[in-house]
Amino acid sequence: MSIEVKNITKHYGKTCALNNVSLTFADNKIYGLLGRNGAGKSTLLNIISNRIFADSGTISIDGMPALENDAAIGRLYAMGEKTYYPESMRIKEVFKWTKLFYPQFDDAFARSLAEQFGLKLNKKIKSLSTGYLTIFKLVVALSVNTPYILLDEPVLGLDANNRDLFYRILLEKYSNNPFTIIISTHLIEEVANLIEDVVIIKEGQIICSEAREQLLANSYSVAGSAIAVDAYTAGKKLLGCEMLTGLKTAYIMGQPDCVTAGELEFAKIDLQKLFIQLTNA
Amino acid sequence: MQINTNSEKPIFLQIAEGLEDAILSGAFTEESQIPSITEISVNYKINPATALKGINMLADAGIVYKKRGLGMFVTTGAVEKLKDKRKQLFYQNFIEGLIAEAKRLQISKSEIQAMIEGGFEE
Amino acid sequence: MKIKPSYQYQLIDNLKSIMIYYIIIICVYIVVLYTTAVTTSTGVSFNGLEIATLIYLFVSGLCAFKDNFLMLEQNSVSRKTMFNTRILIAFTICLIMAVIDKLLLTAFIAIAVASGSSIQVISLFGMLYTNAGVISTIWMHIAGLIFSFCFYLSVLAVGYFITVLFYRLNKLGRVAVGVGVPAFLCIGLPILNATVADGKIGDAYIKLMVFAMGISGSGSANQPSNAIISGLVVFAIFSLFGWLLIRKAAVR
Repeated sequence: MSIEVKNITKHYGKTCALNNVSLTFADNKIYGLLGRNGAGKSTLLNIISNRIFADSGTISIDGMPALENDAAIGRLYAMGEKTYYPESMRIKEVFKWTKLFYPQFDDAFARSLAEQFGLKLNKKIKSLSTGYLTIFKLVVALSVNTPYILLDEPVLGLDANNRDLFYRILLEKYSNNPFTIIISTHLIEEVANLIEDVVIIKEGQIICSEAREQLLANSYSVAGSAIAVDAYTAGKKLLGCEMLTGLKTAYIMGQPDCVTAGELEFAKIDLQKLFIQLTNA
Repeated sequence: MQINTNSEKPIFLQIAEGLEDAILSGAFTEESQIPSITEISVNYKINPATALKGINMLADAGIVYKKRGLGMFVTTGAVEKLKDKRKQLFYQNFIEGLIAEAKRLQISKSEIQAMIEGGFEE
Repeated sequence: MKIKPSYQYQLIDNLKSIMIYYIIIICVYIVVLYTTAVTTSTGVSFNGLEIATLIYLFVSGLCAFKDNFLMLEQNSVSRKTMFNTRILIAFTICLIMAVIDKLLLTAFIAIAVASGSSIQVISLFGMLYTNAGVISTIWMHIAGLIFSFCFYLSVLAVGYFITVLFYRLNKLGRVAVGVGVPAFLCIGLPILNATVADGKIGDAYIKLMVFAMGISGSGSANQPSNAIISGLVVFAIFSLFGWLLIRKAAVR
């Protein structure tokens, strides 16, 4: 049971948004889909959810080809950055219709979430602020109970309290009844400990797709005098460096070798730092 | 229990140690229930798999055990076990570091002994 | 499958506006009836209810795409299902409106006669295929119903096709088609007709329409069968084009 992305390529005019992308989203895992602006995150999510079409390649969901297949795409719910519900629809009407399209939709749960976030069910979509529009979409996404939930920028415009509440609800639901969540976000620090696997996309290509712990365990930083650091890093897989008058910090993939350590200082890298090093131009 | 996400120490290890500390301090007495995976995960906003890994470390060491359908409980004799384990670690964590730093600062063995005795008297 | 919810969703969406439309029609009729009674003017007629319905359906076709497309996409409905549901919806609302129009016309005529009003109520079908709008046989009643149904289908499909076309086109394309096509039809073609073609385009157009509608003779000499087939052909062609455009439509 998984979402299989195979050799997906997508161009917008002459720009290549996705270049032969292949990866698997296994079931019951929380994924962080990370990438810089314009890296291709939304394009990938939109292709998976059948909203736009790839030039070539295939998507399959639980073994079924996803292209124009109600049964396959009905197994996922994609919350996009944009809102696709009719503007004049009321929240409670959205709940009613969503229940019709997704029979597993939990109306009572959706109502309780709306209350926790202070979202009024009688409001029309067009009257919602940016923050509440996000909340509204999150409430639906957290209540549809499909095996796969795709969240594109799920905390856009949310204040710190509501972000906190969202992460708590998400984890509680996930931990009681696991499902697959793919979170695409720029706020890496906030989701760093939430996610199990990391997918990093750079200029339309997947440069990393592995367990967060493994990724972090396989990278480290080394600091010291520029000469010593340079001597140490020779022949190693260097991600990037920072200089501070004679002192140098280098970010390296692999395991530190203690033999040559000496005056050097080793440290682990956090996900955000690693992301910046991996995706710098 | 405090989790420091910027720490060098992996989070699952921090959870295991945090729970050990709580058991040693008596916050969780023997045969009492410890927080569930969900509670830990939601409270610290960490992936449940991480929380599970931490708790599994304690279960493997026989510090906690599972009661079907109820949750995880502190084993009888867990405090004794933890004390033994911590004593072993005490040498590695503190004495070895102490000696290394003392060598760097050229503090003699007798000076250290005097310091320790002074520390105990305070 | 997602056909049932998609159908239900679009049907309720349509029924609301259809109801408003008929309330307006009935109000207009009452006003006309009242004014003719008060002013005792003669020769007032209430003709071509079907024309009004045709305009309504054309506009309804124009409005039916974007909101529905996005709503259904959000709910994981494939374009194939969307299109199939769209055809079902077209059949449903055209049938509903053909029947309601037929009932309303019958009622309007009966009310006019009963109230002794001088108002004349003639249907489009009556004007084209009968003498003085009097439909006498049961077969002609049925033919009238089928005529309205097929004619409505064709207009709805054209409206829908236009809106999908505009959704697919980029800004430049929209301007080009939006300005170009009307300009060609209203200015270019008449000029061409008057100059180069020497009126032949106009003649051919009239011949085509006469043939398509089966109105070469007058009154009861005309048969609605050509018009029914024409309606279905237009519906089929524009639905097919509509499908080709929807098939690869991207969410924006």
